[in-house]
Amino acid sequence: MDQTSRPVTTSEINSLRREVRGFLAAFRREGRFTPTVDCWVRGWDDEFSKELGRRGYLAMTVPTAYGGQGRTHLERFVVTEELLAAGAPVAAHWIADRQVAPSLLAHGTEEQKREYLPRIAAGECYFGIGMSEPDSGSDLASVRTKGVKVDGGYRITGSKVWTSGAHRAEAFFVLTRTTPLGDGGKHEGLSQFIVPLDSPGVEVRPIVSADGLHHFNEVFLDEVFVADSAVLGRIGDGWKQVTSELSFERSGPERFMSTYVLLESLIAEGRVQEHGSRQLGRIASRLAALHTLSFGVAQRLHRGGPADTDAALVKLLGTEFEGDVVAWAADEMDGQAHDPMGFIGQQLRIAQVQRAGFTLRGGTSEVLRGVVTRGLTV
Amino acid sequence: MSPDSLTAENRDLRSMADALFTAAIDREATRSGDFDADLWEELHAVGLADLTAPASVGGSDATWRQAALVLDSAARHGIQVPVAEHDLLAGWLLRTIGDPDGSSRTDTFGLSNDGASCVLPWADVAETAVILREQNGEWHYARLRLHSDDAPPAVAFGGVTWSRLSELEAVNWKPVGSPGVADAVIRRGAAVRSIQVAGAMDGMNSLTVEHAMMRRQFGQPLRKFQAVQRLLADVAAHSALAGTAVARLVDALEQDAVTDADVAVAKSCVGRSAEVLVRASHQVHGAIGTTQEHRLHRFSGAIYAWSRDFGGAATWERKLAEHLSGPEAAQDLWRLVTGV
Ligand SMILES: Cc1cc2nc3c(=O)[nH]c(=O)nc-3n(C[C@H](O)[C@H](O)[C@H](O)COP(=O)(O)OP(=O)(O)OC[C@H]3O[C@@H](n4cnc5c(N)ncnc54)[C@H](O)[C@@H]3O)c2cc1C
Repeated sequence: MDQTSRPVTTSEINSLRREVRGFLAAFRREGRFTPTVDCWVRGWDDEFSKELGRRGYLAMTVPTAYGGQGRTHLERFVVTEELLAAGAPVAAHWIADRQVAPSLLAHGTEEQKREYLPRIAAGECYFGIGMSEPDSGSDLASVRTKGVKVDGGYRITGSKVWTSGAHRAEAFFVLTRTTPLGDGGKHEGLSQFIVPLDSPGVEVRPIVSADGLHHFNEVFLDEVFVADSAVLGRIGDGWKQVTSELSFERSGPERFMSTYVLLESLIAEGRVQEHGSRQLGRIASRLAALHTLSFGVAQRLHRGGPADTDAALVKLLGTEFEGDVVAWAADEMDGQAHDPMGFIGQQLRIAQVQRAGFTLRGGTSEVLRGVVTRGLTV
Repeated sequence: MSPDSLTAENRDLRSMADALFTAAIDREATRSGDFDADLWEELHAVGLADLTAPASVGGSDATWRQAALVLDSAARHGIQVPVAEHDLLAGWLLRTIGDPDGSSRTDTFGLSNDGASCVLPWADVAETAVILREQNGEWHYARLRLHSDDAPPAVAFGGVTWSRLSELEAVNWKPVGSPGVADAVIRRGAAVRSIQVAGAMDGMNSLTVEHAMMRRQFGQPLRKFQAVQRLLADVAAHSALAGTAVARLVDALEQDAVTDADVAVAKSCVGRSAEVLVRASHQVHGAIGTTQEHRLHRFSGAIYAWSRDFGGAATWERKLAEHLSGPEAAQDLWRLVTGV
């Protein structure tokens, strides 16, 4: 039996949670990280990622033969959920661990798996995702970055945008058009490549976000050569490959936990006012239900079943919830002595700014409503 | 505020303000820091800085409606200037109390919650600050000279630097005299913030419509998608509701008959509508609206920062609910709505 779908008992899950919680509490006590909202985008810390690798908390569903932990999606779920609850700095490895490792397992060559998976598992190899372009956001299939066949490989030309972490990552997955738009539908003729970010012809330009930090980038590719061995999966299968991993990308706890640190700190510091306690009841209830919904998708994926519609639901409801937590926190803090430079003040401000991205990244809420509706009507 | 309901004089005032703030947008790219000192000098030169001060002390004698026009114009252009703090709050308080020192060239204003510290905007660029505090039921104010060489801890948000002044116990606190003065200045503070938030909401509405017409996906402008139309309608509707609530408040201010209930109506409607509008407007913009370079965050950031100042929606809703809990609550409610 596949290691990643073996049965897991509740007591195994619970003891794993306690183990991760204990580790995070100790690290926090020692001041080895400062919690932040939206930590999977804002909290970049190479040393912390390596520590997680050493402790076996990365590439958890990757087989041990490739340096992974050979554990289940459910175990990965609880580890990531605990990390997010603590606001731990997980941005460095996030994309590699969540998206790239499963894609390599599903579509990668033996050589690619050996090259990247052990280092991803060690928290040493970080990735970006080059899908969006200036004119291709929601309409992803309209990407114009070209991959042209040449002797021994491909030459890639075009520009990507909003590429998170490209200024610190080693390589990125690039979605390109390898067959010009013609008779086939626009979902055909797309291909994915693994492109090292230090390749000649790659230029990474920073985009500063409204929070004043540099998270994402424009990446320009000018006749960048990659060998045939850098093709991910099959030429022409790019669309199918990109969409097949969406259930993992959309259903995880990061889709309802991005503002948990804010929620927790208001409760911990006794900032919930009496008149607001009913709202807290509502917020806490939704959190519990969203956790169950998201965990349910993880269980479905664990058994190898399809979960596209439920995954879209998790993201749709979860990201809206993350935004509602921000509004709730602002309401609770209203009228209380409030230090904008203190922890809560700072987290609230950051959350207000970051919130705009929650319902956009990984597919906008409008696009997700389309996915949910199609799921109901097929 | 729709231009056709304005008198000719106020239309001119509005055009003058619009022209100055439009020009300030063009300077943004080349300016360092948030404060546009040139703009502030220009506002002084044309009489928009000491807007409501009497002519006898060099002011423009403007009415509340005129002051609202100027605040709204700045906010709608996404421009931050200390007009409200300098003239309508600090200046007004000093004039009302009859403080012998009069206004400085740039005054700012803050409320101290604990009597020892105060978080306030513009302390990085103002010459003086007026701070108000309550102790044992008595209101006092202090006039502080601000020194740029020992800057207090500060954070930039919504295009303004907010600073925390501390160790205020020992400064020279003077009684404000009548307690009504302190209540009035808090109402004025809440009113100017409501006017500013509604103006910024209007600005976001314009940017959002513009973006939905220009940006194309799937071969069409965004405005063609029904889901986007719904967002656009929400933005427009909530901008209109906030604008109306503020217009209602400005009428009351103009007649010098403003009550806490009037302020509460504005603070609540503006605050709650802003929450819906900011989310929908950002949603239409997509990723481009999350960048520092795009002007959208100047509006949403300002809305967040101003909304909570002088009490946010929740604080004022609580006051209004208390007002509507007396023996004549039902009559009070209908009186709030109809005025009689
Ligand atoms: C924080 C953050 C990180 C990101 N990181 C990455 C990354 O690492 N790699 C990457 O490739 N991309 C990344 N993105 C980009 C993200 O995938 C896009 O923002 C998203 O796909 C939407 O595209 P857009 O921003 O161009 O918005 P647009 O597609 O222009 O959409 C604007 C608005 O129109 C709506 N709309 C568009 N088309 C339709 C339609 N057919 N029907 C109804 N409504 C429609 C949208 O829902 C949205 O409300 C990131 C974005 C953010 C905010």
